[in-house]
Amino acid sequence: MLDFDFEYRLNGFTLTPALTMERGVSALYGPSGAGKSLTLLCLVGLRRPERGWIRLNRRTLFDAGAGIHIAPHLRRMALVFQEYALFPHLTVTGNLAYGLRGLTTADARDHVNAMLRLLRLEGFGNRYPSELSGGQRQRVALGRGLIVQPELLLLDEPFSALDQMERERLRAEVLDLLQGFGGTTVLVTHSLQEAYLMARQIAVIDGGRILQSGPRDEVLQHPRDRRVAEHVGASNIFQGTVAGEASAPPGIAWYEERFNVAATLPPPGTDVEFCIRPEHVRLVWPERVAERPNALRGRLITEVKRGIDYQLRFRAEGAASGAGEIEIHCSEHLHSLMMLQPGKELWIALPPDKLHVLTLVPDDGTVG
Amino acid sequence: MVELFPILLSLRVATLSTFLAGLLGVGVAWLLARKRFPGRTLLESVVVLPLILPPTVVGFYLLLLLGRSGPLGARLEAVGLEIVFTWRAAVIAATLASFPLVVKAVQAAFEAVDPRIEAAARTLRPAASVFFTVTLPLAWRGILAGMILAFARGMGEFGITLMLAGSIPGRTQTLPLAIYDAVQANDLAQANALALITIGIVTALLFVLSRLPRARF
Repeated sequence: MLDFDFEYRLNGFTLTPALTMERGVSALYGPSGAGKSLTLLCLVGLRRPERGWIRLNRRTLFDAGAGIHIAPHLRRMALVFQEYALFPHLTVTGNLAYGLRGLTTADARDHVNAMLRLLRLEGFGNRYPSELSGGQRQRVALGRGLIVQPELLLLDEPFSALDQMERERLRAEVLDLLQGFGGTTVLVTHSLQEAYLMARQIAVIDGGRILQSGPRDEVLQHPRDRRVAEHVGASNIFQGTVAGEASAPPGIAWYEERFNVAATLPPPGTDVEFCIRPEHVRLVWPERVAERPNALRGRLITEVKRGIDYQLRFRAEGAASGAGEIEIHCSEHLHSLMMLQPGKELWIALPPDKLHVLTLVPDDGTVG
Repeated sequence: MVELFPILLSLRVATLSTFLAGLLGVGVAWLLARKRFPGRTLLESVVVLPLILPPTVVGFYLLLLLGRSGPLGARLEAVGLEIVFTWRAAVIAATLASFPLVVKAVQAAFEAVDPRIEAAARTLRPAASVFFTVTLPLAWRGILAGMILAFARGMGEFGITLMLAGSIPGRTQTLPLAIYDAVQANDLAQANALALITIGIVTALLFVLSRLPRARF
């Protein structure tokens, strides 16, 4: 288990991540410049935070107050980079054996041979990294870290440099190799899809802070606030007020509409932000509108065909048109079935169990 | 008959100064390439000063510093180390002249080493080991190029040497000074022979540089 809470300043950027990561694969997900890589450098000990602490399996690696700052090679962490950062002047064997210190030559050779077998690179021991394929390099980079039996494996955007097909193949390969690794893995990525595919836990980072962390579905379906919602693709974010009449279950008043919401709401009269994911917005046949709660009438504004599905933009009519456009993802099948095209009049519905209430954050994006 | 002394002296001076400038230069280059510290920009400017200032100016202040009544010279003389107007002065002059070349070449070589490779190495081994097993091997072509430049510069050092070591035949007269002296004495054959030898040595060095094994990566 990795556990940290520290502060590091660099050229006006303040990094203050605080997180607990369990065994298994966790993702640190955020846009470029969010502070992901800097967090990694602090974790491995290549940068020294001004304040706070870092613990790995109850071992204190850094504690500003106590003056503890363990050297990187004593932290039992391994780092795998995009483009793998192999030692180009050493063979595969040399790369793998680099971290094996204090062993006899025979022991080190056994370790390396076992690792070559695990990586399915037998016979490649005398090759140089430049003589390997991308996938083979990736495996060597992983093996170079795993061979020292680290407690924490850090993967820094390991797949960003690859094309789509390679990426999917290598993700599967890496997950496969990680099966036998009993420690904690942190995957740093700016791809939400990658974070979701590889990790059970996702931590969303931006502006140097962890905005939310938790099980991957929890983060995707229940973003804490507007900023997380935007990062995890819950792009339809609305403002409303909690309505509470004695006669009806609580709902959210939004323009002239009143939405039913399955989740527990704050007290009536409270201003709230709420969101719905584009793939959760339902397209409704006109004759079935009555059966659907939270139905809205409007017009399809634009559509973008994205290969396997459509990204639609919808604008409600009447007062709710002031709310801006609603993004909807729909399958090609449904698109042709409903004969959708820009300009078409349309009914949509926002299922009560898919409407998610967000915590309000101040407009300037800073929060105490 | 070609004078042998200046040739041997210049080879010795260039060898020693290359060694000294290399030792100091690699350290300073690493600092400049990899560390951020207060005064870094100042250090970077000061390092190139010997390249920019007129050699006589550099020589003049060295003379003040290292002369018998100079702040450093007096102390060194107290422990029996004479500098000014000895072959040691020629070594110091050549070291100072080639120092900026070493720093610039090696700094560029260090900066070309991917910091992520070093970072990955640092999680596996202590910093000193990483420097010798990763950083140096990856930068060695640049370092060698810097050394060869330094040697050539040491062979050709004239101005600072003249100020600090003088041109005492048989004691401090290096190859370039001997050529100048021969021309002054209208001994063009001697000057020509020494000049051709200089060209030969420097050309041989450049040849070696061009024949360095290609990197595998």
